[in-house]
Amino acid sequence: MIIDFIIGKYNYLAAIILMLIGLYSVIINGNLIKKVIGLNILSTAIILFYISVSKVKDGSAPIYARDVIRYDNPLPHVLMLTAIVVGVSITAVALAIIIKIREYYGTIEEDEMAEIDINEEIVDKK
Amino acid sequence: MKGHIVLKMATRMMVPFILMFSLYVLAHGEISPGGGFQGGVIFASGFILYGMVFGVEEIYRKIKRKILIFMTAFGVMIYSGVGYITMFNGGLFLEYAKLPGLNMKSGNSMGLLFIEIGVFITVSSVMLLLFIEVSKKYDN
Amino acid sequence: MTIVIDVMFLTFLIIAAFLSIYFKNLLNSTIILGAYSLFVAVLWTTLNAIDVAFTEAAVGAGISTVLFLSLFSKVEWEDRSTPSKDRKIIATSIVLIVGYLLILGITDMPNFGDHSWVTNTYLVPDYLARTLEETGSPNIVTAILGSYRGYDTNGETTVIFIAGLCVYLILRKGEDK
Repeated sequence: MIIDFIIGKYNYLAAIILMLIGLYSVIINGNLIKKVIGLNILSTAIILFYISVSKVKDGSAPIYARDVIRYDNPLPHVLMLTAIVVGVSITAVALAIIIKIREYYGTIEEDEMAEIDINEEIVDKK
Repeated sequence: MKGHIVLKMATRMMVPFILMFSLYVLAHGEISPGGGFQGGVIFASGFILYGMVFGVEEIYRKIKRKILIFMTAFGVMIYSGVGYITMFNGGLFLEYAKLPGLNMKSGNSMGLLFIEIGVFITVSSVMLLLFIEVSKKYDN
Repeated sequence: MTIVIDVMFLTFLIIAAFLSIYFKNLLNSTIILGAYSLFVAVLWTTLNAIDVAFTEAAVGAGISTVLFLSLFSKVEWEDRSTPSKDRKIIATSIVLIVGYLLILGITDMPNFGDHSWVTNTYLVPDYLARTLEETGSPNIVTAILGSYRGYDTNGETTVIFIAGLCVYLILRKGEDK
């Protein structure tokens, strides 16, 4: 039964594993660039899930051709094109903010930034 | 980047073909994979290749940033403009069948081409802008 | 036969994703992320999503990698963070809970490639039947993108425009005031 489950849904399982790798990276890394890399992996995993849903057995690519019985579902492809575009926009804005943070703090590690913040507060109180 | 004669010559030869290919992808978006977005990214990557080999300052000098920012807005304007033209012609927003002088089928085909050109302009200039902004060196 | 290729690709993807967050040298991570994107594009070609594969090859493997690489002229490429033990425990438990919920979610779904599922029978046969005579465009994905869902694409173009404007406004330095 569990073998059937894995064989029938291996694509979804792979998408879930990739998603969890990305999520783990986003949560655990103190380094901001690593966080952005994790976000990229997360979005790719979600796209993989949608594209797997759109695949039909013995289906052909959704471009009209002769002698084709069945086409794949084109709707998830359209939605995922938008998702990729939004993904690259997120990456670009995040990298710009990282550059600004690096200029202000001189570091992109979360722990060191927190230390600098605490020290500044102490100086302000004195 | 002094030297690297092979790299520079190869880039000089490749960039025009990359730009041509991007226009091909744009024009054939209706019958083969591709479209405005993919074509725009390829168009920008031609310039990015040039910038990576010859230095960012080289594109920086050749393309004024004000023009780039104007182009980003201009593409969105073309896209929305098609929508408003159909609206003033008595249709709904982006109802291509109501484009002036066209019926349903030819209107759809022309409308698709126009909006893809809008997407192409926006995407190519935004990608180039992103590359220039992220990789520019600060003077001070 | 396809299942063997698919499983091979998926295994490679998982290994690449793991390696790109495992390395402490961020340059290595970025290069592996580019290879990952390229393999994702190949995987989508085997899944017949050619438009998405094209976009991913151009954007994920091309533009994103270039953006990351050009960032490293301003930022250190060493990951110096050492996550504390509490953080590791919290992250692992969150990941396990989310993974359990997601696997619970896919047990209801039909098997991979099932054409009688509701996503493949509702609305989509309509698109497939009407697209050619209504828009005259053989590529169904482009037709839906531009014609049937034109509002979406309008919003998407605006999102790119706003992202470009944001990056320009964040990074500009007192020039052309």
